[in-house]
Amino acid sequence: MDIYLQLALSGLFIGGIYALISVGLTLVFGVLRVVNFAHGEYLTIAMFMTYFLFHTAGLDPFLASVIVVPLMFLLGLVTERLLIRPTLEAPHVVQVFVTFALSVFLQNVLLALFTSDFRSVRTAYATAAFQIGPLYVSWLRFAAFLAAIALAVGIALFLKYSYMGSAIRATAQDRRSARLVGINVDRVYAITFALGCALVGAAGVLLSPLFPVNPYTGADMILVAFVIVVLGGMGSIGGAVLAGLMIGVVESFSSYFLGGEMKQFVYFICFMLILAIRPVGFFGRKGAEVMDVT
Amino acid sequence: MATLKAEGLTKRFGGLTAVRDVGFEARPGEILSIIGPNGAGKTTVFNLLTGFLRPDEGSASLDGKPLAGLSPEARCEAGLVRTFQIVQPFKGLSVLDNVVMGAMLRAGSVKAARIVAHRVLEELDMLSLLDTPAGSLPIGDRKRLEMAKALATGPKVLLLDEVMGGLIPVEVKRMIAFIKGLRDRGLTVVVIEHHMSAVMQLSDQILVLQNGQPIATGTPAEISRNPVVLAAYLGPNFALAGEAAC
Amino acid sequence: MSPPAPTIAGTLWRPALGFAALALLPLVFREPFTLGMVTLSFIGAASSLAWNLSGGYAGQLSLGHAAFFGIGAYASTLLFLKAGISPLIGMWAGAAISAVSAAALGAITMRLKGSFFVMSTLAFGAVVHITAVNLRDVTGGSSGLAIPLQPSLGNLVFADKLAYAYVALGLVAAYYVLTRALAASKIGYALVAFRENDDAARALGIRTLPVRIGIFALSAAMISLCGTLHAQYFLYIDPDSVMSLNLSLNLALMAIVGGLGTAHGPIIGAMLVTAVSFAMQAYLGNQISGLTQIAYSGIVIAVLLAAPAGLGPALGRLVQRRLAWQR
Repeated sequence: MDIYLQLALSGLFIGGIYALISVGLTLVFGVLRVVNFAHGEYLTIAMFMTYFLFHTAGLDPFLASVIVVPLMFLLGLVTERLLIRPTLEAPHVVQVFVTFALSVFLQNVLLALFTSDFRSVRTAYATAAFQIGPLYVSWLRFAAFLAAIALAVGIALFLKYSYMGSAIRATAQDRRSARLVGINVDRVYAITFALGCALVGAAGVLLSPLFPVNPYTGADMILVAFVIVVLGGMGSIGGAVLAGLMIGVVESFSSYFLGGEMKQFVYFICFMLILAIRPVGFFGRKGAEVMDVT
Repeated sequence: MATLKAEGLTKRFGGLTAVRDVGFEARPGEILSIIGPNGAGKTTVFNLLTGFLRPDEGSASLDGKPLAGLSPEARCEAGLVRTFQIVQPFKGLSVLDNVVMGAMLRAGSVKAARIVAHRVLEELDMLSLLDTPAGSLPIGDRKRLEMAKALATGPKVLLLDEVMGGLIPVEVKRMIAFIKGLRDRGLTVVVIEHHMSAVMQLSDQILVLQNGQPIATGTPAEISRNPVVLAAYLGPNFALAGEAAC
Repeated sequence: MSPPAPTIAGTLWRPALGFAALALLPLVFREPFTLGMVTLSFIGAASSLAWNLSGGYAGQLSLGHAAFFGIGAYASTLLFLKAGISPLIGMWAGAAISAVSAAALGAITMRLKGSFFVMSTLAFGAVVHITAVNLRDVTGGSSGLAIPLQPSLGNLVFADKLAYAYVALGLVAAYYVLTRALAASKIGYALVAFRENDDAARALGIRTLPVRIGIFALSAAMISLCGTLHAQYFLYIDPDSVMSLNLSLNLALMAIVGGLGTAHGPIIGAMLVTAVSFAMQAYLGNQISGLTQIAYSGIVIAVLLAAPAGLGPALGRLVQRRLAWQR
């Protein structure tokens, strides 16, 4: 029994970070209706940034976030302006390939710069833990989980209560009407995309002390992000969080019983099952998942 | 040539009942018109008949064979075809190719389909437009193209959704004559129309819907005198005045 | 896209001339290095033609097609190494597996919005790659598998490399003919109708979903055969060379550069892209890993952003059809 609880707990913790990765992706899709196939590479970039800040300036990851996250936000703004905005009205082919090519581009640039070696951030407190009854809780994972959830909740609150948040939600529902009431839709797109990058960047910072990074790390995580986004419902923040936690627990159990390498395989099966049974996910807009007329 | 029968068709969208208990029988060599104020659920009925929507209650059948569970493609193959109220041409293709798409259903090859398409376009007097891109056609020609595409599939039952919309009087006259010609050939025709004069000239039977429910059926003469219908279209006070006038 | 005119015979001299020219290439570029380049560009052309059937004509963007290439390579190789079955037979096993997997993927995702299909192909590609790496006992993992050099037709191994070039060219020709035949047939028309307006197509009785799934499965089987040929040419396969994401991108790149929805586009694109990559390797060597991929992806992005209409007629028509950027 204890082992199950332990698995569930660690699954929940990692699930929180997965949720954070997915929230960015689902937000971008909900508002811009673009699937950013390069989303994983932003995770990798953030992790590399954190690594270098740690090794050159001795900066603890949690502190480094103050530098990394805003930088990722800026990177998001640049990407949106240069690559996403020009393709918003273009045929689907173009949109898909631009972000897909960007993904391959970034992976290979990182490969050229840093080789495929793994780099780790080993903090002093990495192994510190406390116990609740029979359960063993790593301080690091617990803190990362809390931070991830806090950020997700923060974003949800931002969307609900701030002006920009309302503007974003309005644009997600109907971009033409949003324009008609004076919302600067271009700016909304830019901010949303940048937020998506910042969120995944934050996830990268939180993951740095837990996992090593190499140019392909983000690409490994993107599959689980897709599964979570679809399971939660494309465009739903709450859905992404709920799904993220669920998937984290599923992964925890499957890794234990089937071995870590089967992870991706399990994700893929889950993904296909969701698409076959309930493609709209938990909280997706009904009908949003089916084919458009044009 | 086939009989299209609908019984108790009901469709709800959340709290809104778009169509409630609609039924009719459309026979070969007859034109049935479905009329009613905007939002009465007419196009929804077509969507239910053609399989684009699934009814919550009720059923439809073609020559006694139930249509339940059949996809739009399957229904078209069975002989039930519709035109769209907001026309749906294949904009990037020529007029001929548009109609070829319809003709492909029964033709064994593209070549055979081209011949059928050519014939249909000739009937509709559109030969001069063969190579014109469909996207550049004015609305009158688009409506005729929509008709041509549907006819090319070799239907038994033809559902026409507001084919007169946007047409000038001379085009309306042509369309009325054409539809009558289709009826005389033995086709079953069901028409949704707002153009009252056209409805009166075309119909053998009329079904009136309001708020999703049938409020009257009958011949054009009966319907034009029906106070419930008049009230629905022109307001309750007119009905009283109308009655008094009769 | 206006379907081709009924009389195809009149336009046959151009492709015939083109293939005659291609057939001369292996004889002209007889040196091992240049012959290798020609052979690889032919294999690339066939692969890209296969991808283009689904990605260009049907508009079903597969970002994981390399998975089917790899399945073909591994299926025939494993059957040969472990069971002594000739690759001439083994390649059909690979094709069958690919076709069935593709059909399953399509059946689940093609009813949904395009993004889901694309995501699922990406996921499938990743999973196949990882499976190949992790099933070390069966697939040799990252170390890959080597095929012994025992030339014979039955083994599909040739002592003279020239033979490979012509086998590959034969495949290109077959795929080209198949593409053009399909485009002019009811299936081709159905795909165009789907791309133009799916609801209208279905209202006319065109069964767009089975056709799309079928084309995707066919495309997967076709590229699977190319994978087998690749294995037999190099006599060595590993996950990174036959199943990688980079390979998936290259397939699409060749088609995009050459002309997305045309039959000749992938061939031209493959020749260009292969030539460029060889040139880059000659000048830059393998000093910086991933450099070619950086260039390729950069090119794709630049071209798509700058001049979508200049990318070959099909993409331009796609843009035209969608009321070109100005909605």
